[in-house]
Amino acid sequence: MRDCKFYLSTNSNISFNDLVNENKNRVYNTAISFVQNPEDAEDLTQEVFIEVYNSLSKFKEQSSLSTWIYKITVNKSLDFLRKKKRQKRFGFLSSLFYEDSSEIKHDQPHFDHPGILLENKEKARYLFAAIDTLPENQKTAFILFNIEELSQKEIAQIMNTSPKAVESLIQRAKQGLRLKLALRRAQDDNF
Amino acid sequence: MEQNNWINEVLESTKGMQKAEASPFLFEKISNRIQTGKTASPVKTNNIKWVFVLVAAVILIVNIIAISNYSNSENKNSNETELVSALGSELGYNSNYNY
Repeated sequence: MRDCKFYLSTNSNISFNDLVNENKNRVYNTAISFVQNPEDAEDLTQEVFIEVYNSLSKFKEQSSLSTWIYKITVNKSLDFLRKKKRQKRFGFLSSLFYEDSSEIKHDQPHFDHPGILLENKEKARYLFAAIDTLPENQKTAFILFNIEELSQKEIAQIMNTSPKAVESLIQRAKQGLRLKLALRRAQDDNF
Repeated sequence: MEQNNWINEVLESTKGMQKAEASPFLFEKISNRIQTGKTASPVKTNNIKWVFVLVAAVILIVNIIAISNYSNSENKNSNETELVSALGSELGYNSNYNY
């Protein structure tokens, strides 16, 4: 495919190659924090840019390009997790029909985010396992704030809500994580 | 206290983390997918969907067969009862005999 240029309404233009290179790490980093699997995150990153490629002409510039790309990434990641959850729920039935059910990717035993410092790896495993159990909107706010390090205002634009609501979501996510981690710790102590 | 410290350490374990980096060949992979038109989601749900359609169809067919067998046997039983009672009265047997 030859690289092509997209003309934005601010009279600026950007080549698709530049757009991918400028945004690929933030898309991948967000996706891997949601799906907690490098291969799935890579697939999702490709999906995000294909959608960007197909709908960039519809981009209205009411928000910045990066906010718009984040929105697509979050939506695709949440869709992926919903599908995976559905698939897991009915997985037992498909295993009755298919001997080779290797298509179904069950949970990994644990997830190591590639950017975590070595000394924090074990603790981060507990954190990501707990993040995985949060409700969608709390998970989104927490990941964008703590892992992507976006401001509450930027997160509010991505989530189509107010900065105040984002602050509340982050607080509730932290409370939820504290509770889940306390339970996990108690379980580990019992064994 | 110790548990609280541990929870705080876990919550702060992402501090100082680096961003995960996407494949250096990402653009080529995306270009290839755009050219071939392959934009399917990584999670494949089609097979599972068809499994459920198949299971629902089997359950429906089994139910229809069971209901139809049941109503046939009811009809057959009532026909047999009528025949026996007609034969009984023909031969002078009273089916309402009190012992």
